Amino acid sequence: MNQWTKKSIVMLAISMLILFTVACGSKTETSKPNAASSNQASASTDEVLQKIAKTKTLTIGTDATFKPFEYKNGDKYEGFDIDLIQAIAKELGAEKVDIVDTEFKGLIPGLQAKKFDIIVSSMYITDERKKTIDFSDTYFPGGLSIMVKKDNDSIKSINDLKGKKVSVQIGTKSVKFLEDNYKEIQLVKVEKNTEMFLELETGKVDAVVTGLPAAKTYTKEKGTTKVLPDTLTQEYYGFGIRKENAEFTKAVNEALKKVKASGQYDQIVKKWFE
Amino acid sequence: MQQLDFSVLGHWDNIRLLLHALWLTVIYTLAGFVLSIFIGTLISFGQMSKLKVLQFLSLTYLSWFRGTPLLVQLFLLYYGLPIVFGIDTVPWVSGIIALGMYSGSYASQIIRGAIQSIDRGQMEAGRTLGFSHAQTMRKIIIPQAIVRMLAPMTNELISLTKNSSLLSTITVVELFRQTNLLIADTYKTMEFLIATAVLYYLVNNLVGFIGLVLERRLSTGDDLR
Repeated sequence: MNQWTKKSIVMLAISMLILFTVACGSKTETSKPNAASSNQASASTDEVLQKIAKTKTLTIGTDATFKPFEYKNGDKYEGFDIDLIQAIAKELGAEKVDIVDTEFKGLIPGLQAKKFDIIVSSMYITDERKKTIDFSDTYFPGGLSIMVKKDNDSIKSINDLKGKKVSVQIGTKSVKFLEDNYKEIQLVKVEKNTEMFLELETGKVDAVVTGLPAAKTYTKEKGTTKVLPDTLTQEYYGFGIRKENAEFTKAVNEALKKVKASGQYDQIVKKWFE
Repeated sequence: MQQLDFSVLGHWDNIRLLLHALWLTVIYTLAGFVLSIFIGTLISFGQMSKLKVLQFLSLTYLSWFRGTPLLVQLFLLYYGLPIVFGIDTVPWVSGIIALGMYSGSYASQIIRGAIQSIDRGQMEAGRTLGFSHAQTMRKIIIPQAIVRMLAPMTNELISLTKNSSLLSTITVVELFRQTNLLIADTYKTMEFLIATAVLYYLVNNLVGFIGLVLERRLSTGDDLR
């Protein structure tokens, strides 16, 4: 290869590198002054609260594949979480909620990368996750729950299930939880969610142990079952928030309290689960 | 066994969403492919260059992008830059760049292989005719090499189309993500998966067909048939 070809290749390679760097770098420059100037601009020093005050928008990250919490109906996002966060956003002073849809595993990295302000995706508050991000107060109890036929009044708690048959789904938490803690219960293990419900409907088992939301949704759609009020495990859904936005977390918790106090929360629960 | 209910595919709204997502998949893949050829050319010439620095840079690039999964590269680019360096990233732009950089490492080997497969005598003949090295490359070697690149490049484009489904992990709504969204809404898993498979199949076979046609058009020697 002669020298000119070599030189031109080197030039091309270098110019491409510069192009990439400039293309990426220019965005940083525009975002930095924002953060700096708004420090004095508004009363709050919290970046997210400032953004909301300025743009009147709250940007949420969600994995919209979890009916009835968040899903996409045609072009529209719907679900319990979506309704709830809209009510909360209003309390926070945001008129609009922008939704970023991504896979569940992309939610925490996306939050850290500031792709959105808050995770609204029925995420359980766990100690593991708390190492990386903060959570709001819980907005919905998840956890394992017991579902029985509507007219069954003999089963009121887990203790009434001793010696009885309970249907569980293979590979889920319920199996391990019951095997470890309640050895007297006869487990009927099935492959699928729907089979579990079928077992109950046909009277082959006395109860079903599954996640509370799934049980509630089924109860709502069929109307032939009921969910016992106490959950077996304590697991709660919370909104994920970046650690540095402690003030925003506080504001979200305040807003959640207001939404609960005003009765809006109950309406939304009713709409999706009862 | 559950009954399949393909009537969901009869709803225009669902079809519209799928076709739109397919269109996006095609756009992202083609843009990534163009970038891939560009990067591939740079890397292949770098590797063949006599300058040690260029060789080293090209080999480093090649080993990195060929040696790590596309999914990891996507995450590093899209989430890594903002977290580590505070650089903002745009989903579809990151997606295209990641596709291009990943596929570029493979493309470079296709290009290098094709060029080096041309008989040495061709270069000697060109030089004897008074062409410079660059002229011989441009007028004699590269045109022949391009014909040899067609089949493997078609392959690369097809595999890139399928790989583009990974963009769904960085908030890009392409065909596969749209499928999952529709499934979550309607609970019709198999129906939508089959429909999506058919769409990928049709697009990739169209690519394969175009590749074959180009090969036939451009090939000159029939001696090995």
